Amino acid sequence: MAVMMTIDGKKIEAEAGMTILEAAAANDIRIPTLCYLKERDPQASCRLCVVEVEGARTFQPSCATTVREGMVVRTDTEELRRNRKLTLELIMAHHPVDCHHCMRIGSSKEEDLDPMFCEMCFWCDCVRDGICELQKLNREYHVDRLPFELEGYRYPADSSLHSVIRDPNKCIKCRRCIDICNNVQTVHNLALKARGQEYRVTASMDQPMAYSPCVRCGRCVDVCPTGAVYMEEHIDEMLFCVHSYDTKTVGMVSSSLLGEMENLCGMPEGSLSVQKIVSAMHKLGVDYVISEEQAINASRKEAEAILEGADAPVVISNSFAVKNFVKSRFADLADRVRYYSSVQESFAKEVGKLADRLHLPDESVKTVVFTANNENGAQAREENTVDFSMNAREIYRIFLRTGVDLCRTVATDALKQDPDPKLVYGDVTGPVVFDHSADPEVRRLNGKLIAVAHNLGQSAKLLEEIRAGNSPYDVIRLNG
Amino acid sequence: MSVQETRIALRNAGRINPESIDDYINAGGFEALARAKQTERDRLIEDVENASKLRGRGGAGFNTGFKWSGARSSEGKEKYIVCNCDEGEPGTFKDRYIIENDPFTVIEGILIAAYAVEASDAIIYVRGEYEKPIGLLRGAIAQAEERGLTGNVNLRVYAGAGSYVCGEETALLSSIEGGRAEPRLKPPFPTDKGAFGKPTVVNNVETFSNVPMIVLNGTDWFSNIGNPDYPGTKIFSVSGDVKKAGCYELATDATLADVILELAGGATDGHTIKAIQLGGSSCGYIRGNDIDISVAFDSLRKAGKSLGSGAVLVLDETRDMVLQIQQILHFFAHESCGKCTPCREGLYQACKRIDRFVEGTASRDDLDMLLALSDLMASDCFCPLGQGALTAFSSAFELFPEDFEQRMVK
Repeated sequence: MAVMMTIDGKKIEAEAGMTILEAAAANDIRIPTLCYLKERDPQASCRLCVVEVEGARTFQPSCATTVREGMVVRTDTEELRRNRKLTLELIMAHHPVDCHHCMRIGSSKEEDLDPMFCEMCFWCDCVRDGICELQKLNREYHVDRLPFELEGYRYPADSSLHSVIRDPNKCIKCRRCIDICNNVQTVHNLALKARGQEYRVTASMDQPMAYSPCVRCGRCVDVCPTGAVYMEEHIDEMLFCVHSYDTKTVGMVSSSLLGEMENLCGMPEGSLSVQKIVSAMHKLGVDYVISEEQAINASRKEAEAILEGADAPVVISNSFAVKNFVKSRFADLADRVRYYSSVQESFAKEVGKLADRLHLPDESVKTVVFTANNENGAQAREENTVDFSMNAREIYRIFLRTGVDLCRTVATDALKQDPDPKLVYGDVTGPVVFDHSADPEVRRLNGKLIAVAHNLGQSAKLLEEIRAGNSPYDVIRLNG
Repeated sequence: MSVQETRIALRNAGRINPESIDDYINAGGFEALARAKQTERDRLIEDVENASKLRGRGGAGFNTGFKWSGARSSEGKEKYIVCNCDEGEPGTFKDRYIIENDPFTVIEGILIAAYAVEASDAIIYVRGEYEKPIGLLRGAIAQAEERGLTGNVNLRVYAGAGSYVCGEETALLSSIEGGRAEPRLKPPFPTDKGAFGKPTVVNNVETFSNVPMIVLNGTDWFSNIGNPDYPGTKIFSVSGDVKKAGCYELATDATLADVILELAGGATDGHTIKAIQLGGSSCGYIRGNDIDISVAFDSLRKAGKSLGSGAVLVLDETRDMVLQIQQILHFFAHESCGKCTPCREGLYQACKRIDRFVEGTASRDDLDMLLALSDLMASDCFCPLGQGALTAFSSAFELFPEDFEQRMVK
């Protein structure tokens, strides 16, 4: 059913049940948001997307207010802008100043800050500098002279895992990480503690992350709008290796990066290719780049071998997060899940073959993987599968620091040593894209009923069916 | 004394032993429940909603019967009645007074509501500090169950853990469910999805204790008492610098002067009344010489004031508004659940600013920031806690700017 309404003087038609935010977006009216995460239930807690709705006593959060027939909405009045700015200033009073206030030029005024200089400087060194949702809004609303005392550092950062790091000082309490951890991944690690000023996100039972039920899927890192949850960075160590003459570096680029890299670099959708990143990798000094298909194929061949001989239902996975998740939540089913090499592990094996062929001594070879999947970073850290596993944000920052411009790189093919093998199970065994939905994907292939989980919540559902003895599937692929 | 109390909710106060159901029954108790059960449900709700126009006594003044009919028409077999006895608003102690004197009338009111909406469960949410009322209610429920008065309704008491925001109905429901005491988005309203996702009626203790008398004496009787738009009585919790602090139940056509001067005896000897905070800490002030105003809900709202929970805090001329506001802001900063930015961060900064007034180091900037924060929070906060947190400040500054100015650096 359609609803007629007015936003900023523009008469528009919206679908009943839509929120004001969605209706505005569909009509190219931008409302600033911070805690809002697409596809998830709105939290309406940051209060930046508030709009004026005629007849309402207070401003309404556009992310959570549904449209009504004849509704009149204003999204950009002077009062709204003033309120949004003050809200941002309130957040910044309790946010470390390391990107907001430039230590080098001694100013946080936008007109003093040269974005080009910022991108080259790295003095401030927040992992999110330049790609932070909060920073972007601060620039938009000219938050430069804070009317409050700065009290940015109040809590120690938790780097106990050395992969997923939480810095509560930079948390803006959007709860995206909590929503993902509890409601999508069903890991139930991240939680809220205390109230008022003491209110903050903690790992389960307020323990350090290393002692928490965290499975290192890294999905919280993907959704954090600021630098409050991030993967440990190894930019300096990686650059040191690629720049050492006596070290040979072998890399791999995952195509899962493309969307986020385009986004970060401000490139149009579809304009970036793996080959361009491969070429950028060479520019950094990486000596050899092995094609991702090569590693994926190796990993899929392993999976096919498992599937061939096993009785139904056979549960397969090559995810590090799934392994941790099953260990802690489904210990009784640990033997039921058959693990095969993750793409990263297969890559490491391929590197071994390459090193043999080129007669490179093992100790002189370092491996680098560029991937969007944060669990790889944790796996590299804990199982030493590769030397460096870097996510899109880290790569973006490396490119900025070293002056690599993806728009100007020429595509280069990666090394591919073997032809594509014949595979029976299609892409059931290949990389799986994470999503937020509650139910696993079910398909029929070669007369077999196959379920593919796209997140840990779906994986848990499938495992619970197995535990209850009523799993209807022949093949189950778990993924985190 | 010319002004008299009109006691409906407190009709049995002092007359019965609050631990004895026999006393209550001898005083005509549970007759209303029996009569209600002979009435058709829709008719009963219609009576409460449109004929009696009973409005919520907790502070929002929402039509009680409207909530009942909403929950009645919602789908589902399991439905909840929740009695809000969080009574977190500072200066309010009427619910405690009702329960400590007559817990049975509350239970009877709840059972009538449960019959009307066909509720399976009823929960009385009592703030944890109210140990005596909790004990009395549990005893009263046990006695009512023994007599078979509760029927199929699973009636129980839930002790809160101490949070102001639980007075807000959706936060209260989250607390009952075992979650964080945080307000939820509305819609869905509790009458559609309340406790445990089931249709739920949330009413205040005082509201429920009015219900038996409405059923017993008829809607005409009730709607003729007090102000026609907010009929019945209201219990005022009078505290502060008055001779006789306490709970007073008056018809809603009374004036504030009736409450303060006549019943509470006016200011203590040798003092004059400077200001009255009506409705609790989240409400504004009224000047001491402006108390000849009606206490009816809507006329107060039109005058920019609010009846709120009926708390009447009387301040004499020795009171400094800055210290009052400091206390209130620190209270709210402590009670903020932290969910929304303006409330969590705004109250923290507001406390710092008001502290400077108390120290005597405040500047114009501090005053401007407090005013800016009060604008921001009134319009942007998620729930009424944040929206009302700085109301007292802006009202105090409007009425008594000299208190603030004399503490500023010249």
